[in-house]
Amino acid sequence: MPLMQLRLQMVWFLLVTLMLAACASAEPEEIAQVPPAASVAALPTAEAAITAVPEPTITNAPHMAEPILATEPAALTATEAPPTISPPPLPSATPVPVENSGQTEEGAFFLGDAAAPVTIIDYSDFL
Amino acid sequence: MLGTEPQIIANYVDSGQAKIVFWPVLNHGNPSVYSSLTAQCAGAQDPELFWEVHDTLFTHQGELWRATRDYYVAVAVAAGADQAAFEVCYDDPQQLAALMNLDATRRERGIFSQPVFDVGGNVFAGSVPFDRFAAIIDEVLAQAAP
Repeated sequence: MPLMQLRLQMVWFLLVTLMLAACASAEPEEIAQVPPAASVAALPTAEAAITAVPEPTITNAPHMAEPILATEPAALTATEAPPTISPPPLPSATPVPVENSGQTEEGAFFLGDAAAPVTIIDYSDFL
Repeated sequence: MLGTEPQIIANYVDSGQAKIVFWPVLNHGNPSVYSSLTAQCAGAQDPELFWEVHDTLFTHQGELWRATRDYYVAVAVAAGADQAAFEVCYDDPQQLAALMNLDATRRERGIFSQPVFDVGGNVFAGSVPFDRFAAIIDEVLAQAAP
């Protein structure tokens, strides 16, 4: 008879143990099944992190009329146009007029380059 | 010489190949003297003014026979000369003497009529067409070339 009671006690103990084990495994499932949507939305997302970066601000120095960018635009140097090299001017087909004029040693007036290879003397009167 | 002068200037003077010297020939009395003195006194202020007055006097050649002192002053001032300085020069006997010396020199060179041209030692009298001038100038240029 005591052996029979001992077996019943053991079976009872096993049942209780199984029930406790079953209850213990069910609790985490309940927690996982209730994700609060509001709390997820409140978490910081990547998009929210981008918009949260402060924009470059414009500050006015008290002694300057023009606003100055507080943040240096990084693209400024990248968009600079490369230096252009203009071709040298072509020689003109028409000669540049010589505007030299002066007086000879004797006092007569001449028009043209004093060192010109040809001298034309015009002996003349205005009448 | 005004007829062929613009062509000579355009073709030879502006390019530095030739220069033109105006040598006065005073063969017509006071009108010759004072018209030349007017150009000379304008040129004394600025040689460019000599050529301005030179062109004006040739253009109004017919008026010079009866031209007065006031007329010449007006011509010089119209060309850009300072009137006071011009009048001092015009009335200066030394300026007149310098003009007479030029006239004496051309006589010594055997020039007794006008116009007479000396192109690099080639002397010829009377007006000639531009083509004739060009041929002589080209010949002198060819001789001067190394």
